[in-house]
Amino acid sequence: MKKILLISFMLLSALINESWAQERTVSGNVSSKEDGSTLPGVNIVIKGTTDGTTSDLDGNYKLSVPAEGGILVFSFIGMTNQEIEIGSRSVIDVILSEDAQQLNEVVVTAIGIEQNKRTLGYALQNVDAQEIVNARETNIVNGLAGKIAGVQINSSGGQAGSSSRIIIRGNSSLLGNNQPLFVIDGIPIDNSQNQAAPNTVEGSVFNGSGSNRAIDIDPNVIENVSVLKGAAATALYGSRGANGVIVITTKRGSKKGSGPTVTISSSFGIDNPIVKGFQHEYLQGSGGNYRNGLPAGAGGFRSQDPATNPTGLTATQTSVSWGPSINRMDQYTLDSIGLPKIYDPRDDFYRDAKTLENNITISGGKDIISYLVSYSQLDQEGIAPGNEFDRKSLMASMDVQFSDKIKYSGSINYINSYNRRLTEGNGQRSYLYGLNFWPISHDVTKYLTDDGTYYTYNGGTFNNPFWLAENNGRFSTTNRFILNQSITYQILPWLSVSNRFGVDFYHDLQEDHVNIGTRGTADGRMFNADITNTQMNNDFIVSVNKDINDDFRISGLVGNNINTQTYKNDLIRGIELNIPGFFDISNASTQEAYEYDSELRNYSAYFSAGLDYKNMLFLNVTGRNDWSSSLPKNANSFFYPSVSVGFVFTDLLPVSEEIFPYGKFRASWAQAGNTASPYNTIQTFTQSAPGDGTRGAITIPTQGQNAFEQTNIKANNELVHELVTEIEIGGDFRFLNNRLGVDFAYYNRKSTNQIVDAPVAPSTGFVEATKNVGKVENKGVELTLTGTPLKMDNGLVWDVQVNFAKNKTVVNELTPGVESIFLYGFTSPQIRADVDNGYGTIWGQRFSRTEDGQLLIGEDGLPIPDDALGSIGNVQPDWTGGIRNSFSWKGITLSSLFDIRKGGDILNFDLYYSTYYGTSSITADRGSVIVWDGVVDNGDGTFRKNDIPVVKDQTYYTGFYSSYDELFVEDASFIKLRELSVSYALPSSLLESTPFKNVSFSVIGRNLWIKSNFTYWDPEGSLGGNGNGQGFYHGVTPGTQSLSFRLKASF
Amino acid sequence: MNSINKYITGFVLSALMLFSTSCSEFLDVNEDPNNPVVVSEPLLLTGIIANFTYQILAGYPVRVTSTWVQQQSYNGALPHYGIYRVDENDVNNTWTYYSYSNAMQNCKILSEIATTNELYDYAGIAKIIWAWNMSIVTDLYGNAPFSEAWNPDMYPRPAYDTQESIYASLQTMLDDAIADIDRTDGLSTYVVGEDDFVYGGNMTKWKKLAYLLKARFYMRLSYAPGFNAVTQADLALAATANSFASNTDNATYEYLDEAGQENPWYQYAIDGKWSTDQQMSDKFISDLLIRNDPRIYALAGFDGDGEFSGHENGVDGDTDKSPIGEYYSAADAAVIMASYPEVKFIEAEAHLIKGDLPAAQTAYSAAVRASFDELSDEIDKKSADDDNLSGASTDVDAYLTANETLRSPLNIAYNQVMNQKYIAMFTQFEVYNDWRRTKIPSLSAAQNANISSMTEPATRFPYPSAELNYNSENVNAQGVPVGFNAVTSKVWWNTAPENCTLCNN
Repeated sequence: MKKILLISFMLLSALINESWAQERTVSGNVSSKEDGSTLPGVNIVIKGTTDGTTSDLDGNYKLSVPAEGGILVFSFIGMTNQEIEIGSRSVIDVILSEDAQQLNEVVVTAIGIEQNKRTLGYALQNVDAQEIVNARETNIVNGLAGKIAGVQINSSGGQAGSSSRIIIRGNSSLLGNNQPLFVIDGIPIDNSQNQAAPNTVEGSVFNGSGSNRAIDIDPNVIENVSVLKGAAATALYGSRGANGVIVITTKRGSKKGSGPTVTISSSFGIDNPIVKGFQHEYLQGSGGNYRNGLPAGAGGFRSQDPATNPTGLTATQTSVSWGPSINRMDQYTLDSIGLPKIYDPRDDFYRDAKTLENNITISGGKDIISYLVSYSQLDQEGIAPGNEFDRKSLMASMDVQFSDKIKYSGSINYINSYNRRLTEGNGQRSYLYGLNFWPISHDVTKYLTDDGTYYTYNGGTFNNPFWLAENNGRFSTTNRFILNQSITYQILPWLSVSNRFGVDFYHDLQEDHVNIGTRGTADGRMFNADITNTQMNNDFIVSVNKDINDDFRISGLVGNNINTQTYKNDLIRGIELNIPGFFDISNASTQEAYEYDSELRNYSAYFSAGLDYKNMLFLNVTGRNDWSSSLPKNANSFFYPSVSVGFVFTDLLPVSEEIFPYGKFRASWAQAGNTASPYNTIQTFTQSAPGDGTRGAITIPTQGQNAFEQTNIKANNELVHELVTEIEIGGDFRFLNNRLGVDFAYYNRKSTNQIVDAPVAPSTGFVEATKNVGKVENKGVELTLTGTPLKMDNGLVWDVQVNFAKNKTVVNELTPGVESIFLYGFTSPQIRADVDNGYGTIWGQRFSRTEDGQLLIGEDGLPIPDDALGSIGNVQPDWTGGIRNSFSWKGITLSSLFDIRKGGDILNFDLYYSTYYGTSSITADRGSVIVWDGVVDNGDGTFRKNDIPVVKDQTYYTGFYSSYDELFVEDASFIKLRELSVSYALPSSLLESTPFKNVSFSVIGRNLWIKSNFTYWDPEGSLGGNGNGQGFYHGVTPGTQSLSFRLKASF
Repeated sequence: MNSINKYITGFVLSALMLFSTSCSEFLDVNEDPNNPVVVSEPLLLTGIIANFTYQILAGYPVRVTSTWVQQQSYNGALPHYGIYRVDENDVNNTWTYYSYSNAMQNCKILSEIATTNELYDYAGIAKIIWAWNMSIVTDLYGNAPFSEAWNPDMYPRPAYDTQESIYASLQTMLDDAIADIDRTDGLSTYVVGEDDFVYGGNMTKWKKLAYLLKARFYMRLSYAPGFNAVTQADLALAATANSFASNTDNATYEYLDEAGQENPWYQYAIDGKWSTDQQMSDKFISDLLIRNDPRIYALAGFDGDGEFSGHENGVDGDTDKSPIGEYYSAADAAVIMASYPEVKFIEAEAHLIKGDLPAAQTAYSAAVRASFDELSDEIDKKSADDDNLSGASTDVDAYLTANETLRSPLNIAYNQVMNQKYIAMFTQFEVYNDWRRTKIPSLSAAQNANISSMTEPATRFPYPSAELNYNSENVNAQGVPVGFNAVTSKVWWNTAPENCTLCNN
């Protein structure tokens, strides 16, 4: 890795003026002590002058030197400088050794610039290939969980192919995008979660959501992930980097000249559902009476003596589980049908899901060319039958050094992703409705009567999840190309120009199948949506790097960026199908068509200027001007500056290098900001949609007439860009021969001029208006501790990395007259951004309280509901962290990663229903007595402590308990053993006589242990997918734990 | 070296210049390809009529208030609007989307662009629907933004106009509409035609509708504080003279039996796209049966036993009750927006207020017969389907004989008129207004009323949450309780029965 970086770094690194005077020449070769390879791009300077040269591709150099004397200084990033007296020699070969003292870690920063981490004035954290691959996560976003301080990741659910949200340093934008930009080898790529059908037609609340498109990235091709957190780090990306940037570098071939290396890896894993929170004692029925839920005439039974209840046997069935305890069955039932059989419907439904992943990589190179071809195939089953995610990724990359001056680098990546999902969310088509309310006394695997008729346990309301898995589905088939072409021309040793062009194109065919006979949509329906997304990006960069003298060095670049993003979605929907199981649009009685197109263009010019003083003090200034198509023409230009300083103060301290080898302070100030989404500046009309919410509606055109009405969001022709201003200070300290490291950062990020569709007084004729409003502040600290507690002579090494981050988001101001903005959910409950209660406030039906916060209890012994909806929680965690421990010894590596989230609430809206239906574990204490902790109003301004006992019976749970959202807000804290892996690499001595270069085995466990108070155990899940409205857990597939085995061999 | 430098600098600068000169063109892609910036009058008119009919005239306001006047009944799990549990969120869509933006904002735009384009018929229709919608808003919510509404740049938080001033403005707006329709100097770029689902471009009928609304609005204020009932009656009579002359003038919107094109009552109450919990009220069914009113065959459908039965308002349970009759709720049924019997009932009431019983009798007789005329085909059809003649009478003549004659004194006659109007106006919002204005028929609160002290049905909607949240100062100045506690307050014109001498019976 380092070598590859070194080679490529050469092209941007400092080159010195060629000397004009020619007295004599010295030549030689520079190589590395560690692996003996030759080192290209090494700076060779005659001490005390600016004369010098650099070594060529083979490490050779030739330099004119003064006739007498002189000292050559050989310097290279990551290596210890060497000074050699020329004397009378004409050939000087030098071996440079790696610099252990200085932390010369080369990192990839904005615009793909590779820099020594030492020189940075802002925080940056790396995750290497092994850590990504070892996560065994299909979604690259999940693979980062717990590994980077200040990065918060939340998986939206356990279905294979689910989206995941990633947030760096909190939510800065009220309603806009808050997720970072993903960049692969300098090319920005799309990470949208595409919703094919408009919200008014089929919103995520009633269907669930799909994948975020970063799921297309094959972890096998990743060499390194560099996370740019703050505004100073991302300033060169301008508006697009305002929420941080995930910079992904892919693996490249090596030019070393050995034959091709073939690496094969294969892994097999099993996922199990994490299911908890259901009672296993009480049967289907009502009022303690058993009802078996079978259709009348097909064995329908009800446990009431026909002598006393003559209609008992034919009585209407019920879907609820308020029947008798299996331990206390009534005699009538026992006599009639015997003891009912008990099932575990959740366990019966979910499966052990298999994942198979294979990768073959061929890489190599010689002289001027290096190449890499990688093919991966992933076949992942979800825990829910019918759910699967498959991905095929073919990547080919090539680097060519055409001459000393011209370098080409290119890659093409083709990905095919296929996801079949079950409908989630609120409603009868959601498989979780049937499943979560399924009584333990009813066999979920049986849903056809003897004559093949579909029935479900209650005679009608819910669907059987197996039937849904077989008959219905939501599909997404994505074909994606990511193309990258870059060329660099080294005009002069200190001056180069480069151009990088990239295309990220995908077509996502989304389909929805609802078969005839589906409860709730008896006539069936379907849609096909053709989504194409194209992003083109070009950067043209002129770079300079120059040592002014021994003490000062300048580096800089001027660049230009052009970026276009186009999105097109054509959806055709068919309602009322005629032939069961035939999902072609010709099968629909009525067809509806929708179209959505969007184009965003951005043009930018930017510069970066750096000044290094004695490799100790680093000053960097950047500026970027963006011109965005989505803003009014007179206000579409905006400038983002940044200043950062890094100061390696240990160079000045007379401290032993063993005790305190390295210490750096960083400080930065930067501005960035989002642009608007397209089409907010001109008032438009939209096709009318007469209807009542999302249910009944008149489809337009109607009766041969089309109809339009004005868009009810007021456009704004005075819109300006959002502005984020961030101050960051931090430090990086290493102690005890680098065996202990501390990196901390404090930041304060203020976001203003937020572009928000702010609700307005509807009597203005508009429902919302696009405005620049609001002030949001994110303050936080990030701390990373790295340490090597053990480093034994026998080779045993114990490494520890601890990440900790605390972020607080404060919504200081929305817009005059607006205190709260809807983010996601229903009228009640919902998730909001709220001035008093913060970003991610859970809003819903709550209880009345006294001024000192005690629950007000009514004369019936039950808490009294508040008249108005209000805040009942907040989803933002107090802090997040990760602890990685790894032990390695003679090829064996044992590694564990704990992922911790402390604080923050989650709305478990499933409990609202499963408590009503009597299946939730909460209801297992039915029949017991509770005295609510609260006070009763005496009516004279005084209160007395409540002492009224209430029996927790069916009425209590269905009438009272399940009516109040406040009762279903749970603590979202967790500690997860996110990863536990053991791997063993065969010693090379053993492989000498074989064709293999490396062979290793790994066993990797994911989420093997979780500590959480969440009723369903794993509090990661979000019906809204990766959108801003997090914490809405409802009809979401539970998380999974897995065990995988991996074999990797190269030859 | 220096020359190379210059060359490079020159190249870079010219490259940048090249981009910047074409920059404005490059960035000029922000015109929305999905939504047009300009639309024609016919497209707007169809949208307005389709929205207004679906969302208002056969939407939430009527669904709710028809249970309050106990013609219909809601059978969902308690609590619900059938027991007056409507809060600021429940009534938000009616105000925010259906009225102020979908209908009235677009009426304003249509009247403006049609005036600019000299297509005055469109302007006239826009003003009629605008006034109509605004009357429903003020009837439901009381004082409401009008003079400062639909002008966000000048009035981001519009002040509330009094109901009295709104009604004055609505008369002016209808006069303007009539004047627009009467204009002959307009262009004929578009002629109102198939885009008009109500009258297919028959502007004479639109004018008659405007006069009906004028008459209705005059009568609305008959007992309002500071208004004289006789004066209002005279004004109303002057208007009805120019209004509907028969049922053929009725304003109706016909739906189709195709997916996504069905009648809103069908979609809501019958097909179950949303719910099937809306049923006939026990009170209404009982009254119809007691009076042997054959119109029951049109107004209601059969229950599972082939009988007519109603659901007692506010009581939880029994799903097997009569649904709304197919005349109103078939997939391809028309929504009756306004009808001729109302004109005659207004005349009858106005004559009674003026003390002219004979004139009232003529109008009343015409009104009741018009109601039967409208429904007669349906009565014949449905009674023929009635195998076991479920206790309902089919004898129209007997009914007319028993009910067609007004009885003195005037307050008895007045009661007859308003009771007949109540039946004839089934599924129209006006039933709720008339009940509040006259308290005829006499209604007591539903069972399980949300506020247990209520003795009569709710008399208004609460103000909507969006106004409470985003125009709080102005809405709070109205002094109306927030949420469902508002429903026992009354709007300004609702003084009955205090100011109405004829209403006491």
